[in-house]
Amino acid sequence: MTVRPIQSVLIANRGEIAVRILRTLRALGQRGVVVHHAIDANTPAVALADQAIEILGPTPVAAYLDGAQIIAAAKAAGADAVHPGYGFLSENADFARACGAAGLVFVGPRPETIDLMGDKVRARNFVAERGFPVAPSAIEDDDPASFADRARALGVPLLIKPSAGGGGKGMRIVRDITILDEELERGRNEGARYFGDGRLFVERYIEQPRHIEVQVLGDAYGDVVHLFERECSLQRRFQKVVEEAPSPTLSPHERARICAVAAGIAKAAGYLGAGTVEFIYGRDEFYFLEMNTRIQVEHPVTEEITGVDLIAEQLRVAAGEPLGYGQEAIVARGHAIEVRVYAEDAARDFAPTTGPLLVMRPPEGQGVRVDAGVAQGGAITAAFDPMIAKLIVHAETRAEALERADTALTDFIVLGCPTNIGYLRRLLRDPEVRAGAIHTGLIGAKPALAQEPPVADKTRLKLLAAAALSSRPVRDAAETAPAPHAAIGEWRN
Amino acid sequence: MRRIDSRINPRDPAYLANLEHNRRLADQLSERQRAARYDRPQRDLQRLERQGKLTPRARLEALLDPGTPFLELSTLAAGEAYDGAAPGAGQIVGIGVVSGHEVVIRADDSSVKGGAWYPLSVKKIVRALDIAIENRLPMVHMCDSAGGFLPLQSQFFADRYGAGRIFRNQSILSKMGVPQVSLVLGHCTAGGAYIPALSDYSVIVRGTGAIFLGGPPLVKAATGEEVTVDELGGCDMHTSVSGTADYPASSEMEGIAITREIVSQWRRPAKAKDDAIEPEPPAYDPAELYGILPADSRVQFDMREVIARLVDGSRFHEYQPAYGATLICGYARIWGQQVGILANNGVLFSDSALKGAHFVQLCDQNRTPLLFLQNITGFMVGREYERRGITKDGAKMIMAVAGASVPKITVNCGASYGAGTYGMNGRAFDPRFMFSWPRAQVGVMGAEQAADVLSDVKLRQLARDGRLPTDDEVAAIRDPVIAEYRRSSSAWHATSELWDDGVLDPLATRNALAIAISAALSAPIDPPNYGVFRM
Amino acid sequence: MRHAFILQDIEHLLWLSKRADGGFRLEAEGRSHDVALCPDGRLIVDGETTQIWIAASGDRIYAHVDGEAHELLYRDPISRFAQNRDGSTERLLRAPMPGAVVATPVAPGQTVVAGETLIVIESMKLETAIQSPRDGIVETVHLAVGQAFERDAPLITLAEA
Repeated sequence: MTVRPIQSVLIANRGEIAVRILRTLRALGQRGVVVHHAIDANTPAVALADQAIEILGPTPVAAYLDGAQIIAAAKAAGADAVHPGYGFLSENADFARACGAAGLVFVGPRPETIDLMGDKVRARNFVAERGFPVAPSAIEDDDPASFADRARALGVPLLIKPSAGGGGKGMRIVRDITILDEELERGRNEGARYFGDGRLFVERYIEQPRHIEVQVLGDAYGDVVHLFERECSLQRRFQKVVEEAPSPTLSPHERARICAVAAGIAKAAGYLGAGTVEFIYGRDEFYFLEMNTRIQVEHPVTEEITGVDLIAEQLRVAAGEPLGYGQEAIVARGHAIEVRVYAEDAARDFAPTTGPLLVMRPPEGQGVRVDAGVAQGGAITAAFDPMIAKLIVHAETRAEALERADTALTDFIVLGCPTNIGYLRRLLRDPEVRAGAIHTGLIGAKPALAQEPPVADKTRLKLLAAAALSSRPVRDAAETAPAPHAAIGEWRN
Repeated sequence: MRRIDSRINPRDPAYLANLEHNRRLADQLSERQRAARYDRPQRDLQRLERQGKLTPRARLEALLDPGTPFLELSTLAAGEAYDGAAPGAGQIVGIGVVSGHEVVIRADDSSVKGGAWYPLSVKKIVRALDIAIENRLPMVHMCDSAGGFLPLQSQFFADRYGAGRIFRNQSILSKMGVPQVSLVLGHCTAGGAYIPALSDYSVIVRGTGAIFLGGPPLVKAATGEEVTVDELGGCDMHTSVSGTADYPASSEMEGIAITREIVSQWRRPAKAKDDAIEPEPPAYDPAELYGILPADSRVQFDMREVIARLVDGSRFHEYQPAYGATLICGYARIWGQQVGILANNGVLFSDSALKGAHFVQLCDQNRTPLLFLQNITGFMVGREYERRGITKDGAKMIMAVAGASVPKITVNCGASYGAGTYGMNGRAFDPRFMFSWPRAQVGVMGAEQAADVLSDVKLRQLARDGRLPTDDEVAAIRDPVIAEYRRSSSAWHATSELWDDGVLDPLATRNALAIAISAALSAPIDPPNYGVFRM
Repeated sequence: MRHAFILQDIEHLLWLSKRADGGFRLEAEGRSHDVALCPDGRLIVDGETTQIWIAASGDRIYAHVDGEAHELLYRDPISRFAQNRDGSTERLLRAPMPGAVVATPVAPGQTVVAGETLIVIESMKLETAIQSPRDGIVETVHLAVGQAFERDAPLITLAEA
């Protein structure tokens, strides 16, 4: 493989990740081109880009999934490479191939790697065959007739997953073996609906598991390093809410082992670029879960503790440059925490909210980083997921990082739609969260945290005063009272 | 402007005795008002609740802008009539602020005999409309009345100021361009039906509100037709079919909210005078009024002490301070609004009458509303005074008062007798507002004097029989006469008969006057123009 | 009639009046307070100053004070007291959150019973079945499967009872 310098990158994405990639491109002196649906015309990504090309689609999401249109845009803009970000086309092997066919560098792993890791069953077999730990499981494809019996033989609790799935969609936990058949049927229907593929597999479910993942980076020459782990156990319905690095639970020995396993898997797969090996961890055991062949939403916590710009490294290895350093060069320092600020109403079962961002004032300060794809004057719409920003804090210790996150959340001002900021503050103040005693079911087990506590009397008075003084009907009524009457005030004879 | 220099001594036994007496009177007033407003048979209140209706007082409070005053008028109307069967004459009337507009509010009190109209109810309604006409104040009617009280129909129907005057006044008010809204919260039957119909706007509550010339029983009797209240004159029929009412409301509170929004649409005419300044409380404690007003109504007091406790900063620009000393004249401000005050400090002589006539014309030229503080037993009598033209000079004062174009407001602070009542802008002289203090008396002459005149006839008869009556016999003849005269000249009786617009606690007077002045300035003021002064 | 604001699902009544000196007086929760809001975001309540961020969108007011953002909703007095005993607004079912339509199991003209699912929506991977508040007949299905909508969008109209 030869080095093929990249001068101009088309970003096949939107929102905060597009902005994040543009920042690195700017630092590297490379040209950044974004594609955007009309709905995103007034977003920071479009404003920051050297060039912005509008793409069309029956829905905004469809536009960002239209690989042919995006490749055409990249060619038109004279880009050398396409960075897919996360989501959309990032784990679409056909898109990666199409980029290559069009003479564009796809900033990500080789299409075969995407294919391998995209098929949960194949990926699992690949990992197991090479001696890495996987959870006991039953795969429907192995022998559909005996699937249910093999699943039953694993014993409860069980986790049903769609073979083609990801992101938690269609997953079901079975604790009562008698309802296994019904749950399999439901999982099959959901898989068919979400992924167009009803095939399932079942594995041993670990109660109160932790989600630990390891960031890896491989070059075109077979060298792989890991950038330590991230713990993402605070999840709601399989969606990560808080991510941190390092994990508060791993011993140095466990850390070394899990990171070595991750790097080993990546190396075995001939992994190129940035990737994440996800593990399920519980009772001092860990099993391979899946590998994500893209930059992750939560990559900033790794950047904060290692000082490595992962986007820059993605671009470098994609261009064919060797890593140029070994594992010993990667040193972790301090503790980083990321929280995802969403437009959602925690008290109403986290229903997404929409609205104009009338005021958006992200916090600033030492060890505080905000990756946002929207700005004041923009809007949160139902067209995409309702993420407003990622807040990342970095401090010497976990306790200090939690403290810093709390302060930063307090200073994070978003007005125009309800957000989960208050919820995130309550979550981070939870004693178990503070103690690091977290697991993927913790959020679900603490529904009370979702309820906004009644505002303090003094705060309520301030809110009412502010609302009164800034509401036209209230103010108009005050202004129109005849003079002597207003002066006399409420009085009866 | 100089402050009045108060000379009271709060440790004076007379002051303390007055204090106790007047506090008792004020308590009596507030107790009478409380009873007139709230004492109702339990079954009447239960009936309202059963019908899903708010009490008239709750409706009123919901209608008003919070944080603003409401000057209730004639609260004790009919208080001494009909054996107390119609407290407040079954009507709530007052001046308040609705959506930032000063309005006259008139509400049928459905907790009194189903809101039936007694003769004094009609008088109170007509007076409310007169206030609206004279001051060009918009009006809100809250209609919930069973109709005229038939047994007394001869006293309220046919005459010039009978019930028809209500509808005539409504029409005139509309013709003047002053808007009215009716909120129909109950039945409006027969004549009552015309109140919403003659209002520029009307809102009707579904289920409880109805408007018809004859209710279902009358229709059945007249034509045999059987019809429900809703079909005959309910909310939906009138707002979607007949057009008799404008806005349907699903509840009383929604109706009140709609009414408030209607009022908020009305234009806000400029005040006749717009030179109010920032108000200032009186420099002296108004509560001292209780110690100043003598317990014995025959004892004279200095009206300057009263003025000092009614006006801004107790500041008073006195006109002709050395002339005609029994009538105090001068300028002051009440809650920032300028007034010209005429206050009695004794019987009226020629010089005081001339001073008064002159000052009335000064205020008229200056477009300053007039405030009359009455404490007057009359004009001086006697040969010498007649020779000097006391009647002629009194006539000048009466001519000036009657002819003044600026608004006039009167408070009876103690006594209002005979021609003094005329010269001091009594009820007959169309004060925009007329109030009495609880201690006030009004009549052709004072009680003692009247008793002498009345008992004199009997005593002379005894004398003709050659008998010299004993003191006891004299008392037996005089005392009942005095008692009856006192009753019929008392503030309670006057207000019951609507000779005034209400009895005021002296301490409530400053606020009441401010609201009254502001209301009065809502109407334009004609240029000064007088009749012939007898020179 | 006082102004009403909803804060945390609770209705709060208040009144604002202008004092003779031009300042504002707030009557709320049985007390009177001197209040002022400066253009730079300083809120002064009874002499105590707090920094506040505030923004309004329609009848919704968003305010960030004491470290947290809250939403207040101004209730227009007429809508607040409209009882709709004829059921006129109850006829229209609106979206409780933004999302997309997953299923429309009923058709116009169809008779439905209280509790019957009228439309299934999906929002953030969460399915919600919108059920009929009463027995009735479907008049309009406002959206088709796959269509996206914002909060408060009309979903189903029931015929008049």
